[in-house]
Amino acid sequence: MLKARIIILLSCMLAGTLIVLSLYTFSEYRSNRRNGFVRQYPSKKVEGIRFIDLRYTGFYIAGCYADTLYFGHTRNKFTLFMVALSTRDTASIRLRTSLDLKLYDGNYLRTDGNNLYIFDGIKQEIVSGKIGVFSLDKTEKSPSFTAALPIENDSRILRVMNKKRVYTLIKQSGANVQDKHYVLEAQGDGTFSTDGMLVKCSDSSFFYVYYYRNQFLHMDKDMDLLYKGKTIDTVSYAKIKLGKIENGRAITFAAPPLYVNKHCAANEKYLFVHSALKADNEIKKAWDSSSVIDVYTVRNGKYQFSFYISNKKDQKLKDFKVYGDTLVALYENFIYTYKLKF
Amino acid sequence: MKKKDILIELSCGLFIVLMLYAATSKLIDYSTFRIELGKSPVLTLFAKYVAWFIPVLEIVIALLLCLERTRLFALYAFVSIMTMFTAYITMILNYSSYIPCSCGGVLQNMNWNQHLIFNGCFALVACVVVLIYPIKETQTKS
Repeated sequence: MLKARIIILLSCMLAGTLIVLSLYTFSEYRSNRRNGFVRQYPSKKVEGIRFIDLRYTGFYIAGCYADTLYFGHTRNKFTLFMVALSTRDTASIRLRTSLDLKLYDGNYLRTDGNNLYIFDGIKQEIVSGKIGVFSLDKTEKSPSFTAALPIENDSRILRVMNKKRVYTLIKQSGANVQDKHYVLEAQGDGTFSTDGMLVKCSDSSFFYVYYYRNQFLHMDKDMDLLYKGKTIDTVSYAKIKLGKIENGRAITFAAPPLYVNKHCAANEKYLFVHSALKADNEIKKAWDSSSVIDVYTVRNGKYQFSFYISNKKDQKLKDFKVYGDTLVALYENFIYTYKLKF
Repeated sequence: MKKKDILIELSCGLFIVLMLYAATSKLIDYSTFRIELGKSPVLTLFAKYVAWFIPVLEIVIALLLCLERTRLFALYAFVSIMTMFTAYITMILNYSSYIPCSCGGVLQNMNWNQHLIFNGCFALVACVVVLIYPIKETQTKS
């Protein structure tokens, strides 16, 4: 009798596990269908250089100036962490300020040239200072924004929400917001479907790369559209499903959104996009153990080739930036630098 | 009442409370539960059905646990559903790039690892109860 019960118990457990396992296999199968495009992988395009320990987690890339990388920290907003690329020297600085700054969570540090900014889109404030002095002593009001990119001395591109609740790019110089604006093309909803990343090129032109569709915009520093580029995958329309909770007071994703582009970076010649979609000529194993970066020319947005950035210490790439011919890959608590050979 | 009977009664009571609590917390905040379930990479396609099926199943198991005649059967069902939860959490933790949050009430305060241990313990206790459960359940109480 006891034996019978043990057998029934074991089969219950087996059945439970099998049900979940089959659900998982089915969803895996669905998500690994062919995406309908191929990548080119010429060899030896990048060379790993060195590993630099950041000691703590929570750092994000703020910028690069004169061979030194700057990092902000998500919790300690006045901490600036510096890494000298050539000597690997690191230092942590606490930014001073004469102002009475009460910033909200979600603000972030960016450097552009030797300028230092803290962007706070909720408080609608932009605080600035200089590298070298490391003191924040200027503050400017701005409209409420959800993304920002310093573009030239004292100018920045901001992503704001227009009256129809569609994300729109505007330029603010000093305290002046220019009338000119660029409304991002909504695909269904105006904010989720248009979400993406701003990244600057060395010549002060910039890109807006969408998260959920295979498109990027290249604009000059005055926000004139130079061209619309296409990433190599086939997702031209954002695959997102939204849902309302609490009687429509909050809108959120109702299914995991299909990411197309995860991170991006640019130098003077190329746009680099960390893609989320597997090409048909890629092996699942390689795909799982690395991140793929697609390279496009800045001049006309044409696809060139791709290369892999492999996982380090079982961690996937968290973010990356390219400065000249150095690619900086950020992981949880360390960075790894690569030399570009093209 | 023997020690064994007390143990059985206590754990069954605990299981009933757990099932009812889990079911009601899901149904009270149904829209959130449904949305969060949809975010799960493993369940997104079936979220519509699973969102109803799981709480209903939990209530049915609780009811069957209350009745003396169906208790043994309910215990097997309980073990099955707990294994399913445990397997699901293991899968989400190890193989999924996105980890959603889809549990209600107090359980929200547990992280996924604590949740895994919590579920595993319940499944184990239920197994023990099944093994010590009196053979002729209809004659034990009179």
